[in-house]
Amino acid sequence: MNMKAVNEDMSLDRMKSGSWAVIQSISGDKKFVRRAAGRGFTPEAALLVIQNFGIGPLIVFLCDTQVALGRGEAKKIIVRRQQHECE
Amino acid sequence: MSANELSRPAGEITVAIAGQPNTGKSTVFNFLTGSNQHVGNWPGITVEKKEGRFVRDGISYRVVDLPGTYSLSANSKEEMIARDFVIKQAPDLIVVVVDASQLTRSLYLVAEMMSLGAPMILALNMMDVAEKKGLAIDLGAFEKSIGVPVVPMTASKRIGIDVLSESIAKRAGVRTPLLETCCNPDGEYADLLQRLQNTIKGYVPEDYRIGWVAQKLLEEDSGMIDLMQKQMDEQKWQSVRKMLPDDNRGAFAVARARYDWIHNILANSVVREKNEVHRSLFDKVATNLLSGTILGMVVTLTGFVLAVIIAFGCVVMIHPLAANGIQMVQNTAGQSLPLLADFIAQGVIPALSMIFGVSVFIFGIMLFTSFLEDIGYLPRMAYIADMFMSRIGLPGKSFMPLFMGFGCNIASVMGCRVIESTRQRFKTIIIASHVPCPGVMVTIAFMIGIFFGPVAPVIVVAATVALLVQTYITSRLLDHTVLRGAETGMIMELPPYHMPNWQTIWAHVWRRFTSFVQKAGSLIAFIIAVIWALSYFPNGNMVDSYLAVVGKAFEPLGMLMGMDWRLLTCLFVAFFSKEAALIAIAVLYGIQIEEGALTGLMMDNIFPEVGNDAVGRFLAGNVSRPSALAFIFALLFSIPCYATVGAIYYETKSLKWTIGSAIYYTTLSLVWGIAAYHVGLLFFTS
Ligand SMILES: Nc1nc2c(ncn2[C@@H]2O[C@H](COP(=O)(O)OP(=O)(O)OP(=O)(O)O)[C@@H](O)[C@H]2O)c(=O)[nH]1
Repeated sequence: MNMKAVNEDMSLDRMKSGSWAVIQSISGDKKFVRRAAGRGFTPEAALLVIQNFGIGPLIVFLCDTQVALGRGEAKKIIVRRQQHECE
Repeated sequence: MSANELSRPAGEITVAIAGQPNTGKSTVFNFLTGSNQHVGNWPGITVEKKEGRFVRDGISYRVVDLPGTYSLSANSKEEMIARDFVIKQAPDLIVVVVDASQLTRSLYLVAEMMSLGAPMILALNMMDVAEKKGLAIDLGAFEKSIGVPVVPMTASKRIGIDVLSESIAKRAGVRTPLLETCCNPDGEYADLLQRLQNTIKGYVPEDYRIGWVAQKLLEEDSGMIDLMQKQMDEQKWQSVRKMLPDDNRGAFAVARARYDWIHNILANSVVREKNEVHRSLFDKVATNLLSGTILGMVVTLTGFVLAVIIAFGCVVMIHPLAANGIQMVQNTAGQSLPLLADFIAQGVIPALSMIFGVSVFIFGIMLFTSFLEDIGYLPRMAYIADMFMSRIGLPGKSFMPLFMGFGCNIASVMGCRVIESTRQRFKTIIIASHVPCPGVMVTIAFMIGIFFGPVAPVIVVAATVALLVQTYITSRLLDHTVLRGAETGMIMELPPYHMPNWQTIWAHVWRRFTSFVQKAGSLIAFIIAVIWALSYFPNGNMVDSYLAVVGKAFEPLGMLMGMDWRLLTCLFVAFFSKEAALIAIAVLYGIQIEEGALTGLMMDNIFPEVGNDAVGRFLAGNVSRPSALAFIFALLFSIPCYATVGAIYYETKSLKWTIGSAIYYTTLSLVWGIAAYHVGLLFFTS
């Protein structure tokens, strides 16, 4: 396996405020996954971390919507940092 | 045109309004139907159902407002309702309200609807916001690539309503052609989808489109899996089951396909100047950890204090009026119809004037909450509050309603409406009664003052800790029993800020409030009558009334908490009103020998002064300290007052939940009472 790629992927809760990322995968029970997908959290979706204090929920921007996301939920979302903007 | 005429259904035409939350769905519905509305709830389910009507060109249209949902999955009751209605009731037309300023997100529901092939038009709302954001939408191209009529609107300014009703009239009954291109994943999943369709062919219920059923199975939608499992024999079902990926990948493939469809449409029809996040200074302050917390507290307190001041002013204003009314009733009917006169003077008028003050407070809080929600601040406050509330398993949005419970628990219960998830809302409604209302605090403070002078602070701390611990326990208990499997985590949209729309705020609050008064009102009136009768008959006195008889009958139970029948009866009285417990103490211990039923005594003591020295000394000599401690804790967790129970019923629309919570609190009260008594025995000799 490519070590570098592994290093780049991390859970969303570890992303700093102001960084762009692309979702790689989402784990968790089916209900959560479906709920997240309906709000735009799917693999390949780009997002911007607007605010992450290191504790408590995060605010992310999903290309047209601001969403507050619980820290526990953010832990289930694996992302890759990217210099990305919305299309 | 002729196709329209042919497919136009006979009789009334049903139009369903669907849309994601915050798209302006209610606003569209309200303008479309005017005051011609009816609020009920979905059969067997505790979700509100709004229906209305409008007439155009002599034809009457029934408009059903579906719950706001992000998708049509089996994630929540709301989504199941929307989906069942669309499929089983087969409305003649579905109006999907879409937020033009957040198209990617809000077209997701449209993408799902596309696979149903139901007759549909799009209400492209929030055009003003989209414009301000610098979005240029080529409506022609947009309409063409979606394949259904699109009506641009700014519902809050009433722009587009007329065109919408015209389009409704034109399109009702015209089925949307199924777009083969829409929303089917490609690659390996396209193949899988095809195989799924082949396998389930012949088993799909009539109302369902096979393509959509296959999609839902691929998503591993629990509702659809249950349905198809019932439809197919075991062996056949197993062959379907084996095809499903079982690792969420199917769900993502389908969701991705929908977003691809959306991106395609937008690429052809929408030009954005620049898609960047715009955050105002206010937003930064409101969502900052420190300043956001401070702002949240200040805003909540301000609303609370304002409502208290206004309510208190109203009570002071109404008091002489009520007193005069009582005088008048007694003067005119006191001799000829003594029973009726007593009922009105001691039951109806006191209860009404009490309810009046409380109502003003509740109304004020509802108005305030609605205002915060309308301008878009509430979700920001909830985001901050989530840091604290999630520790006891509650959503951030529960902070504001729970806090208002310090003024009146009814305000909490009613305020829980801002919590979208039904399960989370129910949880908060049940927990709301843990918040001590002024009635509880006054009574408890009085008891602590009399019995525990030097150690009063210890008792106060103990009570506070007990409350917090019990709140946590209740929350966890609900999670693991009746609310098992409830979604707990937060995925909450933060909608853009709006200027307040006073008309919608006022109309919304007024409608809810009056409907509450009508519905819960009859229950409350019934209970008042019962309480009055219990505390009046047979002799017109509380001391030897049936209420006292009940108290005596339950004395053995009371003894577990070290309470004699009098103290126990006072605890029963707390169900009527928490401050009434204080008056009951005075009456039952013969400190204030007064004639009349409990409700009447409340009126005379609307500003109770029982806290005087004589009462205190007398009580202290007659009740032991462990018993007093038991009373304090039993009262702290006692069943919410009758009006709050009425509100719980009104908000949950469920007798099971209402009675369940009453039993739960009664049990809690007993358990804490017994525990406090025995702890008290350890520390206090008498
Ligand atoms: N600027 C603008 N605001 C609008 C428009 N339509 C509705 N609003 C406002 O958007 C907010 C949400 O509107 P609602 O009608 O309550 O939205 P909803 O979709 O029913 O949302 P829920 O009640 O949460 O399900 C309110 O403050 C409306 O006044 C519009 O076209 N433009």
